[in-house]
Amino acid sequence: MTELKEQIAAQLKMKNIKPEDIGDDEPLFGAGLGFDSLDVLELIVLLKQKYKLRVTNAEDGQKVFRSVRTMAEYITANQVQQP
Amino acid sequence: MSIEKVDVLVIGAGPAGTVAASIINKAGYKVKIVEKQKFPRFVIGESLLPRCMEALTEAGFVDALKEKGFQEKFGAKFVKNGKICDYYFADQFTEGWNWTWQVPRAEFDKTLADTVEKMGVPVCYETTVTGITFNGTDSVTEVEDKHGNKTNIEARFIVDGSGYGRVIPRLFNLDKPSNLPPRRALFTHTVDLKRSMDDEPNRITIIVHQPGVWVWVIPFSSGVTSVGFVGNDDFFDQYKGENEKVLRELISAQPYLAERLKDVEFVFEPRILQSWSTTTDKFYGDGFVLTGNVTEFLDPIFSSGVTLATVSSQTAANLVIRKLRGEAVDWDEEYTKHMMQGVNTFRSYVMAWYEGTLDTIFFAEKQNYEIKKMICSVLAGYVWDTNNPFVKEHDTTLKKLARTIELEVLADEEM
Repeated sequence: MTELKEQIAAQLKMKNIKPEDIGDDEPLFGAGLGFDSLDVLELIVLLKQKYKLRVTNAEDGQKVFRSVRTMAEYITANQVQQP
Repeated sequence: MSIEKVDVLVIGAGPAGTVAASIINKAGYKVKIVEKQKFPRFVIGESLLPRCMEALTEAGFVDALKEKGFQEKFGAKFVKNGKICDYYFADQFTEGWNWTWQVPRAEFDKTLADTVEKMGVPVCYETTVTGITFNGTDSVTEVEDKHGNKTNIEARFIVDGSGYGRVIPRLFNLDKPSNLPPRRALFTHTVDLKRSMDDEPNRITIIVHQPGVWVWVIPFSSGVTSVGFVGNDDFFDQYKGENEKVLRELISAQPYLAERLKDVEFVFEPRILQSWSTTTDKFYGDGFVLTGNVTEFLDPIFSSGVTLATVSSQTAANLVIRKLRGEAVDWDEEYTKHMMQGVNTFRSYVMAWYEGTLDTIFFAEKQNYEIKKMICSVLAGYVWDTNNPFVKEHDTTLKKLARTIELEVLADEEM
């Protein structure tokens, strides 16, 4: 998850928050880190470029991008299924 | 030396000066314009924006302009490597004018000056301001005509619409450099016989020549078309020789224009204009206000010059009238901040244009119609409508939108 946090910080060009300051279960949206719709796109592209994973529908997106932990779980679960 | 008394002295007989003079004159005050040059005279800034029609209407100039049969302008067309992006002013977010004109400024400015003169405002041409002394808000301005005759003009207020002449900023050391890097324009008027090759003439065409370099194509109703290349010094320094040779070389290197303007007749030897972005510390003081280009001219890219000039004069004129009536005026809030709202919105778009952010938006495969309408309103000059998110958050929305477009392309690509 440390690596994922670093990748998120780099993709979003985060200036005020350090990767290690992001809590594993901290909500990425709303009162948590306050990501917006543009940030979701950044995360979709991050998963695609680094993990060859495609998140296409909005329902999946809401579950996957809840926190760093849910993202990590999604990556682990889906990469295993790959041949 | 002879002495003359007026309520308001206006410096400059261009669009800024005449709009202010007309509005103040209509309110019943004695106004006089002094103009350094003899009209008609050449100047660039030939493409107007719909928003300036409101200022021209309040000044009472629209009927006289309609009689001149200037080329009507309904939008802007952007071209890059054969791709075309059209904006029509009718499709805009803000309610307002959906058309304007493209004008040879010599004729346009002369029409405004003649019209204001018919309204009863004397215009003294070839008359230069040689000094101004303020005593509170009252002032004495020394002017000199072409025969060397000097006159003192006593005024209760001065509107400085002197444009590049920068009369008050120069006399009182108010100039400061703009934050925009210096750029240069090389331009002429052409006898555009093959105009029908392109879908024209009722709009301006802006061609992306290479990153940071673009071309304006502004057709007039006379059959003449204004053409100019704009870029930084490094770009132009690569080309050696006379202006005409350089401009012909540039035209032949631009696929959109090469055939249409091959061996075209130039109406005059191409000219260069450079380092036009100058600004000033303050837009007003005791007894004076600066309007038009004398405040800050940004860049020719979005044709904002005449619009900012006329709207600043429209705004200032109404404040001057209130001031002369003895009412309180908060110049900082009602003038400077208001004008900077518009100037800074255009500044964000000028910067986004040269950074390539707007290229990404204009030439995106997928266009969002609602967003396009909001950007269209900025291109139409409605930069004071803060209900428009592309005005209100002008410094962030364009970058976010361009990044969204880039990411959507990345997300859609095959893995």
